[in-house]
Amino acid sequence: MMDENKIPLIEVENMKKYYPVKGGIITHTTGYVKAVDGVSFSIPKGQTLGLVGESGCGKSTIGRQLVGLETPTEGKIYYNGCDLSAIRKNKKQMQQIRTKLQMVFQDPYSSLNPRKHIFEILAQPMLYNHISTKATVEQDILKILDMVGLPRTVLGRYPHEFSGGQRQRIGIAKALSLNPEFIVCDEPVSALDVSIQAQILNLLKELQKELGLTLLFVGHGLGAVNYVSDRIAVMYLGKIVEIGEAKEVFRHPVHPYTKALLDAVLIPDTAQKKQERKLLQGEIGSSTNPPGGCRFHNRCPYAVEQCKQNVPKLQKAGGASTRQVACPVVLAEGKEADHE
Amino acid sequence: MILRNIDDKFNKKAAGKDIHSESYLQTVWRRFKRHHLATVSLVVLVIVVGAALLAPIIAPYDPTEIAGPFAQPPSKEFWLGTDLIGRDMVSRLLYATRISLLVGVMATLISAVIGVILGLIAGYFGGVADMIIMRFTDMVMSFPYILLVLVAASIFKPGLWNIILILGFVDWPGIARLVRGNVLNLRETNFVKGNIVAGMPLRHILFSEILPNTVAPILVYATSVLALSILDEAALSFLGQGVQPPTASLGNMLNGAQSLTVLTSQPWLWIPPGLLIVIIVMAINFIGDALRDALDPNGGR
Repeated sequence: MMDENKIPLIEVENMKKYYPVKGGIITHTTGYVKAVDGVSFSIPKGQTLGLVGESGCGKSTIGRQLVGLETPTEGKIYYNGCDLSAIRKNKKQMQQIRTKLQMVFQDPYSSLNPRKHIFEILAQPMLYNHISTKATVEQDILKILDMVGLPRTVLGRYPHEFSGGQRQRIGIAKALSLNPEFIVCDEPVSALDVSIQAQILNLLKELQKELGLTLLFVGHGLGAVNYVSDRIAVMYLGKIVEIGEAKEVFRHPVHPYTKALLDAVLIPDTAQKKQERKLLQGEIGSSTNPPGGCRFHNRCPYAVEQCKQNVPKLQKAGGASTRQVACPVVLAEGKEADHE
Repeated sequence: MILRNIDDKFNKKAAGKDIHSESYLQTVWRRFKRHHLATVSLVVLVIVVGAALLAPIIAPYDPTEIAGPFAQPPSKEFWLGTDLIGRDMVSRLLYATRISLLVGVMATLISAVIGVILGLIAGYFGGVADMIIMRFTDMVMSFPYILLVLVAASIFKPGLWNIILILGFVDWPGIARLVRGNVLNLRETNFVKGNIVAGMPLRHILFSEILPNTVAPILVYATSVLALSILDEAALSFLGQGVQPPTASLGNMLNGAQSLTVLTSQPWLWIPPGLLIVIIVMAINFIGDALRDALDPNGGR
C-alpha cells in the first residue's frame, strides 16, 4: 500500500504532447499526432513506476518529456514540487536539476559515442557538471564501474569492443555518474538477449535499493516491468487506462485492455498448450485521429453504447487499494468480476 | 560478479587511460596498409611532396632564370630539357608541383571549413537555417562552376591567392551536404541525446560528439576535393586564368602545349607536367579509397 507520507519526487499533471503533421501542396500543419493526451501520475521517492502498453502508445514520449529532451505541449511536470517548465527558464537552476534526471536508453549500441573510449564517455559529463574534479574523477569512475559490475579494464576501450549487455551496463554507469535522483529507463532490456535481460533487471533493482533511486521503467515486456516495478501504469493510445500496485494489476487486471495485454503473454507450460486465449481483434487506433469516447471501444469486448460517447476518467476501483481504472463499465459491473 | 574477479588480474596496470590495447590511429594504419595500391600511392605522394618542399635545395637551377639554350631536348646538363625561353624544366617542375599542391591543399582547407560549419548549422538546427543554407548550397552547386571561376578570375586579377580563394569558395557545397546528412543522423542518436540529458553544452555536442563522428567521411571526401582542385587549378592555368607566369604551376606549364609545334615536336615540355598531374591525382584518389575503409570504426578488425 502506498505510504501517505511520501512526497512524490515526480509528479505529472495532465501532460499532453502533440506532434504536428505537415502536409499539403503548400506545407502547413494538417493535423496532430496525439502521442500523449492528458496523462497524470506521480512517483514517490524511491519507488519504481512501470509504464506498459503497445508500441506507439506514447510511453517513450512521456520518458523524453521527463528528462527534458522535449517539452510537453500542455500540462506540468513537478520535480520535488517545483514546476520544471518554470525552472527551464532559469539556466543555472536548470543545469543543476538536469543532472538529477537521467535516462537509460533502449538501444545500447547507439547510446555510446563510437569515437570515444569509456573513460572519456564517463568523465566528460562528470567534469563539466563539477560532480568530480580532475584529481578524483578516476576514483569516482572506478567506484561506479564497480557498482554496475564492470572491470576497471574497460576504461581504455571503445564501445564497439563490448557486448550489448556490457554496453547497457556502461549506459547505466553513465546515468549514475551524475548522481541522479530519478532515472527514466526507456525499455532498457528489450534490445538484449533474454539471458542478459535478467542480469540487467537485477542490477537496476539492486542499484535502486542501494542508492534510493526513483525509476520510471518503460517497457512492453510485462514480465520485466512487473519484476522491477512497485506500481504499474497501463497506457493505450496516449492515455493511462489503469494504474495501481504492480502485483494487483498483474494478478487481477480490471480494465479490459489490461486483461487483453496479460492474456497475450505466452505461458511456457506445455500442459496448457490449448489454453484459450482471448486475443484482441483489430488494430491499435490512429493517434492522429483517435476513436471518440473511450479510445479502446472499437476493440473492447465489453463496450456498450456509452463508451462511444463519453471519455472515461480514471476512477478509484474501490476497496482499500489505490488502483485507478478508466472504465466505468467494468467498475459498474461490480467488483466481484476482478476477484474471481 | 564474475566480471569483478577478472578485475584482480589487471589491478597492477589498472590506471584509467593508459590501458589502451591499441589506439584508434594504430588500428587505422593497420587497416590502411592492407590496401597495397594505396600504400604505394602514399609512398609516391610522400616523395612528390618531399621533392616539392625541398625544391629550393634540390633544384639545379633558378626556375625563372634563363639557364641555357631555347627548347633543348633532355640532356646530361638539363635532365628534362629547357623550355621555350631556356629555363630548366626540372627546376620549373619542382617549383610548379609546390604551387599546385599549395593551391590544392589551401583550397581544400577553405572549402572544408566552410562546408563543415554550414553543414553543422544546417543539420543540427534544421528549420529555417537549414532551408536557407541548403538552398544556397543548391544554388552554388547548380552554377556551371568553370564559368563562375572564369568570371571570378577575370573580375579579381588572376593570381595565386585569388585562385585558392575562388576554388575554395566553389568546392564547399559537397562537403556541406555530406556534413549535414551526417549531422541529421547523429543528432537523433542516443549518445547525443544522452549528452543533452547530461546537460552538456552545445559546443561540446557539436564539436566533441557530432564532429568527430563525421571526420572520417569528411576526410575521404576532402581527398577527392584535393584531387579536383589540383585538376581545376591546372585547367584554369592552362586557360591562362590561373597562376600567372613567371610563377610556374603544373597547369601553366601545360600552357605551351596549346601550340601544335610543341605538341608534336617538343614532348618534353608537356609530358612531364601532365604525367605529374595524373600521378598526384591518382595517388590522392587511391589514398582516399583506402581511408574510407580504414576509418570505419565498426569495420573488420
